[in-house]
Amino acid sequence: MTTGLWDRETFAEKLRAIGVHAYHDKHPFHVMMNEGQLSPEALRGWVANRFYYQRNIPIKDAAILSNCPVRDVRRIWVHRILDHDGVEHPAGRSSCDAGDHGLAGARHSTEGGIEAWLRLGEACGLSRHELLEDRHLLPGVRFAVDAYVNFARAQPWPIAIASSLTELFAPDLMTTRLAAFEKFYRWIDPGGLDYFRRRVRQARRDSDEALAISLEHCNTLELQREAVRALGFKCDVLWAMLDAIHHAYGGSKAAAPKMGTTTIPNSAEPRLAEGVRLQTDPVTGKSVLLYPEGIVELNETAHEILARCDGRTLAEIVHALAEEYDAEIDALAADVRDTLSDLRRRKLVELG
Amino acid sequence: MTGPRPYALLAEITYRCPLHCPYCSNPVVVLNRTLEGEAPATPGRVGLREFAPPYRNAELTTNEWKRVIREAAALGVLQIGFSGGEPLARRDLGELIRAAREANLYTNLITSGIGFHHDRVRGLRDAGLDSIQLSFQSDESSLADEIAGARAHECKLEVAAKIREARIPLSLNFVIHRRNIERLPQMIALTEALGAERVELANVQFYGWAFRNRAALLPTREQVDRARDIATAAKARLAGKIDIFYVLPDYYETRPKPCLNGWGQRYLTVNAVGDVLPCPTASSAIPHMRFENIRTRDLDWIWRESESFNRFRGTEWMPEPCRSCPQREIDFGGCRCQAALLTGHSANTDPVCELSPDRAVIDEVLGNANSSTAHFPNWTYRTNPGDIRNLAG
Repeated sequence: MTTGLWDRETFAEKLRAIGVHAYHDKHPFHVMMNEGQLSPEALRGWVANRFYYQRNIPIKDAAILSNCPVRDVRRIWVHRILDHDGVEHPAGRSSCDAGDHGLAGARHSTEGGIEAWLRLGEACGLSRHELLEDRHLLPGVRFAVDAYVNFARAQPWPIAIASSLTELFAPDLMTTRLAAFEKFYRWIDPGGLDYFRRRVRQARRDSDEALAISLEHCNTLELQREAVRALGFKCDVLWAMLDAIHHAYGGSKAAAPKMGTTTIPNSAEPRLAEGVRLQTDPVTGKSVLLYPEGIVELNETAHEILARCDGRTLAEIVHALAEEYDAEIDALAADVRDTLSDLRRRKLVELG
Repeated sequence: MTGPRPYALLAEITYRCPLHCPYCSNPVVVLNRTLEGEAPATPGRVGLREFAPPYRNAELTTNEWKRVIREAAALGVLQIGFSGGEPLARRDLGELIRAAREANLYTNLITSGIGFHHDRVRGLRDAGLDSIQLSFQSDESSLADEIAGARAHECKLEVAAKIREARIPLSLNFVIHRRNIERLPQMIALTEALGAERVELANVQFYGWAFRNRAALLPTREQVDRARDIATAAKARLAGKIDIFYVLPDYYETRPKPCLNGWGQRYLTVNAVGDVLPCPTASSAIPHMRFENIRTRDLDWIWRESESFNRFRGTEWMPEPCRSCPQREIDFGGCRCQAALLTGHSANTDPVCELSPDRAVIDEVLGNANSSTAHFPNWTYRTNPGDIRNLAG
């Protein structure tokens, strides 16, 4: 190129390179989250603070729109606001073929991402009032998010759009997070995880669109350089938010023992809670727990543990299992504790 | 085994009840069948009213229920809920619970508590009763008794204490509606005070008597929003101590509830006269559907082969917009009874869904409920099936 412009591949490569070290999926708090290490307190802290980010996204996107004179770009960009805020009158009443194209998830639903996040909050035990009043908002998170909105207001629109490219770095982050929540944080009502389910579809589309716009409209070397810097700035915003949350909530289960997650002592004698029965499902042959108006199918590990909850202490149960399965005792003890803690949280097991 | 298997049986062993709650999900009119059956060994009295003979005679007998229980267990059922009406109105309840335990079922009793004397509580426990769900109409006598149409509240408080004393796991159930929704905090406080392990705060669902009394029962949006906040906060505060189940009022939702987890997938109901239903409200909500009776068919055949159970299984039966909807395996098109009651066709999309062409029906009802000028009628109290002729005449 005679203008000294980076070609599209080089430009895209430089944008992607930013994420390698700076994207927040590498932040220790995020790593703990996806590994199932967060205490309910820490997770709630994250949900409450991240809500401030969520609710400001449409304001940020409206700021970009207000700076952008290009109609074709606005037509693409405006759906982000609708995705987030929801639509009052959905267009497609006659069919609910949400498909994989275009505005999947947004066009047919009045509920936007903000409402979905409020539901996530509720599923974690946070009322919508708490979230809407910013009751748990940390100063560091507020400053980081406000800085992002102001950045979008003040910068040329192609630069602001480039700053939103962070989802490019981890197209599978939502899928990973969804799986982690379903696996590790089962105390959260799974109905509350819709936000993540929506984003699995939306994130890739959004980042593809934003990348295409950036590649086309950052048409001077200076704009390209600014775009790369803007993306670095956005990574810092996300990182700073997690720093603040990490600092306030610690994060790990050990650091914040609350709400039935306290470690079960070796001397405890776990037993089925009153009204809970362990029996075999004659149809499947698997073992199940029956309790008032509910049935839980047990995996083999849980079955083996519960079958030994007969007045023995936790230490004795672990010892018996280790001997029988020739397993390493520390890992086994952790498994047994996790399983029993989970059942205890669901009030299916109590400690004697 | 191929095909779905049922996990839970709701046994509505009688429609008789000493209470007259205007939101009862029982059919408004029970068909006055002339089925032949032995008269129960003892007349249906537990400090309750007498009922007209033709109806009482049509109730399934002890032996018929025992057969239902055995056949249900053989089909894979793991849980049985004894309900009604008021199940305590049947003298043979203990015998039925024993039979259910012998079949290895987990036994729940869903009761108003009326007629639950001390020795009866222990008797049912000794028969093997696993848990009790006790209904309350509100947190204090004056409103609760007005809703129940009977002096019941004080008696329920005593019964709750007896249940705790007998160490039977206790759940409370409050049906929430326009007249009592403001008392949610007090209901939660009562749950704590009574030492219950679970509480169901269930917004009224509009079937049976509740459908007839909808205008008097449907809460306003403001009431519903506040109630949800209160329930959510209580859920967080009491986590690990009391399980709170808040059942959403589905008219205020934009997507339908996954009714029964799908028609004929996990649940079945046998009602007082032996009809086998995929859903307890189906016989009254979907009048044109023919339901099989336990007196003419065995449960296994009814579950697997009958037209009524197969009618809405899976997704093949669905019209648009459900048929191509990505949510079809999540909400199963919503509730068949609601579709029938509100659109006239049980195969239609549940009109709660914002994609339903009939959503306007719900919006109109909501409009009235939230209007400041609308007239809110008094409700009609539920009457017992013994009084059927008065009603039908």
